[in-house]
Amino acid sequence: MPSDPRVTQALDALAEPIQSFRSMLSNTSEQIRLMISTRVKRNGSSIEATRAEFGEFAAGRIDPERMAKVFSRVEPDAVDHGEVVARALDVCNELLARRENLFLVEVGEGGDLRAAVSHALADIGRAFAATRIVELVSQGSYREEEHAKLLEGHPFEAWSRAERKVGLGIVACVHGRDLRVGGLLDFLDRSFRLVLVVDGQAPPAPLVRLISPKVMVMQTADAGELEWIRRHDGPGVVALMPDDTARFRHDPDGGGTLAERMVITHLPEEKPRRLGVSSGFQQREDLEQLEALATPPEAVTQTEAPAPPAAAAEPSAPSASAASAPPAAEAPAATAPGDAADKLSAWLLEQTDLSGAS
Amino acid sequence: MNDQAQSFFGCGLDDERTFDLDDYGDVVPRWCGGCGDHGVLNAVKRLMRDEQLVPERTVFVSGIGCSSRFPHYLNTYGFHGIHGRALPVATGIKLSRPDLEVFAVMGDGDCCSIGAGHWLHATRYNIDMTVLMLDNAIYGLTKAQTSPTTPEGYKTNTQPKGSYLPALNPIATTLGITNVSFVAQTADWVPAHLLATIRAAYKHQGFSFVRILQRCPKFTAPLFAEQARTPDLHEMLQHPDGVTVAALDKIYKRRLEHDPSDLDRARELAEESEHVRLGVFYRDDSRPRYDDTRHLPTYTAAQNIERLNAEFDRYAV
Amino acid sequence: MSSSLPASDVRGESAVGLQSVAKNTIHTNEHVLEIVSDSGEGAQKCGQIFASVAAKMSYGVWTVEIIPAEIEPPARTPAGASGNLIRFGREKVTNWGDEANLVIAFNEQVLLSRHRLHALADDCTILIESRWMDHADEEIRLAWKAAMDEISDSGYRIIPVPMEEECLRRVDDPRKGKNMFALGILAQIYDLDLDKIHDQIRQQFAKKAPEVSKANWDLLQLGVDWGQKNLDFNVEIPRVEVDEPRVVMNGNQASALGAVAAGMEFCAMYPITPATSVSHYLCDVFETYGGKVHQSEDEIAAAGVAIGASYAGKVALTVTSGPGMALKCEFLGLAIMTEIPLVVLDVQRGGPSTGLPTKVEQSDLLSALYAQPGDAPRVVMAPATIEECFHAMVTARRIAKTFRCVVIVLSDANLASGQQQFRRPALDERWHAAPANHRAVGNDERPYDWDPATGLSQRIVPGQPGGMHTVTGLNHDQDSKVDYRPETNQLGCEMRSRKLALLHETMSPPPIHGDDEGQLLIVGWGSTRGAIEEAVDRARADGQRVSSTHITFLSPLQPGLREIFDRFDHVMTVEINYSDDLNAPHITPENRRLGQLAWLLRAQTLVDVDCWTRVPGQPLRPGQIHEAIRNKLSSIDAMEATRS
Repeated sequence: MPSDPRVTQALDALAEPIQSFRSMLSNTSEQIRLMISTRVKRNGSSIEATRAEFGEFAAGRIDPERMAKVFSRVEPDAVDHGEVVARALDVCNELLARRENLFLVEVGEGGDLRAAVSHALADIGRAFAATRIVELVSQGSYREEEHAKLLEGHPFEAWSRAERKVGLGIVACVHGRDLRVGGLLDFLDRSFRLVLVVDGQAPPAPLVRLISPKVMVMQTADAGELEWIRRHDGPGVVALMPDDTARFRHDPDGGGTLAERMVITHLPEEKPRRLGVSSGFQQREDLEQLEALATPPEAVTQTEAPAPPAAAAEPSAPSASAASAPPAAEAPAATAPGDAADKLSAWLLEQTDLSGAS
Repeated sequence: MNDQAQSFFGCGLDDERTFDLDDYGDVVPRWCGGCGDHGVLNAVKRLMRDEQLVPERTVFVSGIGCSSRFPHYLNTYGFHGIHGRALPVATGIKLSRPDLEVFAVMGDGDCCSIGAGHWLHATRYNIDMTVLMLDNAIYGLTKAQTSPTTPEGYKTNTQPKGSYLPALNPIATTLGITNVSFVAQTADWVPAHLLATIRAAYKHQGFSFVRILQRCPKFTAPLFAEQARTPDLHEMLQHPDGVTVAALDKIYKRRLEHDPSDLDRARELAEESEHVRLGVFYRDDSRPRYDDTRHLPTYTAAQNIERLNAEFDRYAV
Repeated sequence: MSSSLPASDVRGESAVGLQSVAKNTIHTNEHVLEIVSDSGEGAQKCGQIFASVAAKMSYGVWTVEIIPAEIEPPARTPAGASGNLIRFGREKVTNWGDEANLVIAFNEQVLLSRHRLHALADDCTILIESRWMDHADEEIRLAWKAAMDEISDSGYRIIPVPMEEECLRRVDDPRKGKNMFALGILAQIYDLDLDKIHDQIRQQFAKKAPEVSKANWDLLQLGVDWGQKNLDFNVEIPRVEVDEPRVVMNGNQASALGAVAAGMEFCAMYPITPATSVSHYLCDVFETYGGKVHQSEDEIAAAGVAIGASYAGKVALTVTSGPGMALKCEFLGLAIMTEIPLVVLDVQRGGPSTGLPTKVEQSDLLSALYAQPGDAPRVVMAPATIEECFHAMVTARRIAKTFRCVVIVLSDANLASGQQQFRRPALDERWHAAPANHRAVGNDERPYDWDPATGLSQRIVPGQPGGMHTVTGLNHDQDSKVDYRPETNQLGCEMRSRKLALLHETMSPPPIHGDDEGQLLIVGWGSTRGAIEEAVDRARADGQRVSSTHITFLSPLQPGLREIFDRFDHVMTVEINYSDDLNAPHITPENRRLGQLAWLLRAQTLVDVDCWTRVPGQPLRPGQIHEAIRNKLSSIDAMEATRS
């Protein structure tokens, strides 16, 4: 499947997060390497290291032996666990060496898409783990038995908020019959972008289940449409589908209401039939839901809670909302932040003595 | 708002903490009772709680004066510097560490007098930071000397017959500076408006200048007393792109629709009027930001040495 | 032919003709030459290219810029003289030497300026543009005549050169090409490598069209041909090939590259002569290394921005000169009080006030050490050569970081604009700061966790969880809490001062040039080292018991000075700053104001240190210092004779 031109196109559409991740990884690796050369290596040769660090101007003027003693007071002479720091560096370099392939997942026939993506993320997460281990070592709080295993795999569930915020893009190649997307929502909470390259016969609209307010969701057969995900700044999932499946796009930047955010360009004519584990009923339900979503709100108020409107009580800069909002994964119908702000303001007002006599 | 970090260091430490008001500081401030600074401090803490700012990634920079004690009362990183120079320090911090949230807190003497040059240029640099100018129209810490914003005729220790000149208008002044991107005015006695305004300022990407009218019960009490008591002396500027606090509508009945993208109108509104105008006078999210244009990639020590060696080739004998 | 020639005779000589003349070869180990023109005629570029090529040919080289104080001084005036002095020779050159042996001047007024400054040796050879001699404008002819009369008492050998006439054969605007023609003549006289000149020209004009380089090559060749045909002498200076790789640059370039090599990533500055070219250069190259140069709205802001950047975790740099130092003063006090590391490069110029903006002086020493309300200990160091300008930045950054202190590096206008070659530095990544590490801060860690014995503490920077605190310029305790109690204030002062004592403990005494003991010890600091040592060598060759030592660290002052001074009968500083002359009216030993280093040494060593200082707005010459040494020795002899 890697010979599939769509894979190259998909990787290309995710070039920005992939390159940015790799650049951060490279900086991290370099920092660890520098730490090894300036701190770890100082073990046993601190006089020589001090001589080098103070440079030639200090030669004959500052005695490195006496200065090395000063150092030991302010900058811990050397870190322990030099060996695990070296291993952390190896992990970073190994991940770097895999280049774009690090971000490419192939789901074997009959495989579990969610498990494959999860496995890839745990693998990528080793970069975070390596960084954490170096931090633990330099804080002196590293415990071999507790922390060493992190380097073998650092699952998404264990990632910190900041780690989840790091932009990430993955391309997964999957057979249409294995296209079960439900579990993917777990990963789509920050800035994770996923492109699915789907092979063979596929259900008509499986991605409809992923639609939530802040997530770009798109099904298309045209790789040119990948431009949408390239330009999108936030979580998103795109499936490059076979012909005659539904083509639609849910674009969080499209507007305040769901109907404004939904664009359906094609609906399959053929009646869906069971495909793999996906029943005909299920597929029909997906299609019905898709059509319902695209209908203006007054018609569907019972079936779908509208997304929160752009906060009314506060001027929100266009790109500020995604970063500061709570995770959107749990429910599309979160409390509108505008309400909260209003309530708070009202409460504040009540709490404050307006007479100024306090 | 944070720019992206350049490496993974620090990411792992940022766990799923949530912060309460107390996490942003529980020191009892040593300002006078009735001083408007208390209200500003409360509003700032609430902003931080609402936005869940990470204390160790937030820096408050101040100069010298009553208001400049601000950082001491917060559990964030703080830089209590020298008189008039908060803005250069804040500029240095933000330029070298775009990942930090930077606030500058100044008084009227700090900002509009001894540090006036920095005020002008920092406005033009339009670096992403939130700037709170606490204006009590007097030098308080040094005990009642005329400040640039002291109203004409108001008696102080240095101008006992009354201030000789009309007061400087900080809003109009800031609006006159090239590349200005956010100017708002609020007052310590309208806490809901205060919070909404500093939130809008915080959210604005660029140099957000907020003048906070602030009561000084010791030295300028008569200047603000009637104001604070009389909602009708205020005129609230309202717009979806500005600050709108619906809950205040019942009290502050005098309202004016003002589109903050209209600079000419903003300048008109900034001029003297019988009412104190509160709200966002101007905002333009599209102004160029110096910290943006100066955002550079980082290189490793090894890359630097390679590049530097190439540079030395130019000088090789 | 070495007698001066009246104008009418000069005309005859210029008609020597188009055939090549027989050459009289002058053999010497070194030469001092000057190229002077009106500002804007390119003498400086000519000099820079000459110096670079001479250095690349393994000659020892030292250049000094001759700079008018204004950007566009009036043409054909002594005040407008602009150009380069180049001393080059077989051995390593450590200073600008004495009077010039050869001058190429673009008009008689700029020549006059050099003559009046006593910059030219008595037997100096002068090549001068001849067109002014019989210029259509009578005033110019008269000015020429007056100038020739004024210099007629000297023993100069004057050779008129039809520069403009020759250049017009190739270009329309000879003002733009004379410098290359002059370079050609010099290349012919000193047998410079033409290929290397071509390379240098190509590099200089790299950003312009190739035709520009070509035109310059042609002018160069015209100069070479003219010299070949018309000059009856050439100069041969032997060369010793060096096997170590070397570079040639000026002090500001070296300081800037040093900052980069030291891993400094942030420089804030405000334009000020003669420091500005450091930032020009940094602006040009810094971003290649991910560094930022911020041009602030004023000197004060530049200090503040640098301190902000340092506070946030770096060691930032700010670059200035004396008046800028004065403005930054309050901020430096804040950095010292809050123990925020900072490197300040002060490229000294003449003062006080605006003083001599383009010219050298060593007048900022005491203000660098002491200008500050309250006690504000900081490190002050002074590179003596351009090579040291480079390496000093590495040491400065390291000291600033380790000791959480302000390090002031005192360079000067002489180093800033002079060019020297030096061993190409072997870059070392250990010069860089260890990567930022935002580790969590433990409950027991404090922002000023002073080790009572040393005053040292670990820095906590924004981003470190658990380390939140507010730094303040107010007196504070170990937790950075404002504290006005007497014992806390005493402790803070002690701790900031103790760090200098600790640094002092790691230092070694300065080496002595000459014998370890004797009658007179000369003490210098900064850019005067080469000239002082050359003067001492000359005095020693005369049989005098003179040595010198040169101080690099002024604060804390290098150790062992008292012991060194005790081994000499007399100690005298040589400095480029003002001191009263004991023979001047009203001046007595009691009220005499001394050179700045002399004050410092007397206070620190209790030795009766004398001084010889001058403020000529140019570097000291070894000849001058030699004479000062002779005078000092004879006054000592006279005094001892009276006593016995």
